[in-house]
Amino acid sequence: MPLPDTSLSLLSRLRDDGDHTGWQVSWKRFHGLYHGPLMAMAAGIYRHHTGNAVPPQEAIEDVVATVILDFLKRDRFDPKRGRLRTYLRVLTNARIVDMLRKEKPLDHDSIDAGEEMAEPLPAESPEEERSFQQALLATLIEDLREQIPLRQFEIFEMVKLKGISPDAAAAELGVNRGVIDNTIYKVMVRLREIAATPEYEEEYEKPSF
Amino acid sequence: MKNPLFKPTEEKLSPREEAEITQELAAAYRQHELGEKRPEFRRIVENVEKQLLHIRSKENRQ
Repeated sequence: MPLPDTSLSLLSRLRDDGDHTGWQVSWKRFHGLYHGPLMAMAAGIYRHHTGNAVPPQEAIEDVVATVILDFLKRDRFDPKRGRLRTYLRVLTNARIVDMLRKEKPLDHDSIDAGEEMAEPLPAESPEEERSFQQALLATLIEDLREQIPLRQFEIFEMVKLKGISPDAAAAELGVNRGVIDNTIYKVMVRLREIAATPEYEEEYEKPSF
Repeated sequence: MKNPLFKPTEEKLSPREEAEITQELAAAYRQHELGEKRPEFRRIVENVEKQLLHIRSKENRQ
């Protein structure tokens, strides 16, 4: 199987090109990475439109499933035109508004189908922001996994992601400690190079140093 | 969140920044693994698969 493109660029091209297996792998991968932010987004937007009502879990799950399908079917996300998180928020907001309009629940008096629904996107909640940043880092790790030799990733995963000490990793893998240190250094350089690509820079607000 | 991982590559990272990056990466990795084990994760996958099957059968009928 050929190595896939980087995740963020892959996300811009998720669609069925006749290769159904590849397509399903792609959307599941997308779901794996962005499940957390989508749930947080949907819950936050629901609260915004309902005067802080508790989001019903099942309805939020339905919205997230529909947003994923929208994302696949529309095939309109272009990283050059904006951030993925904004695009997903627009889709999520539209689906929440649709759902509330259909339901018109009695206990949601604050919902005004005319005016309130026409409001722009609500502000991003801290939970959503945090969840999205974690998804982006998980995407970065996925990209890294695809771009370096398996052995290097294994060492990186043990030491940096699972918190195994370099000495213990060296003993487990039967290599010198120097091999571990050298590999970690090389992988961190590669990781920073991937993070510096325009797609990531645009998604991730640049830190001000 | 300010993560020094996204600092320009030509700039050297301090030991504190390296530790911060490691902490954030490990947290994202754990969160990602945990997320896939949550029940709603599986329910959403089933929901999307059901709808995809529906779309496909509709496309095949046309």
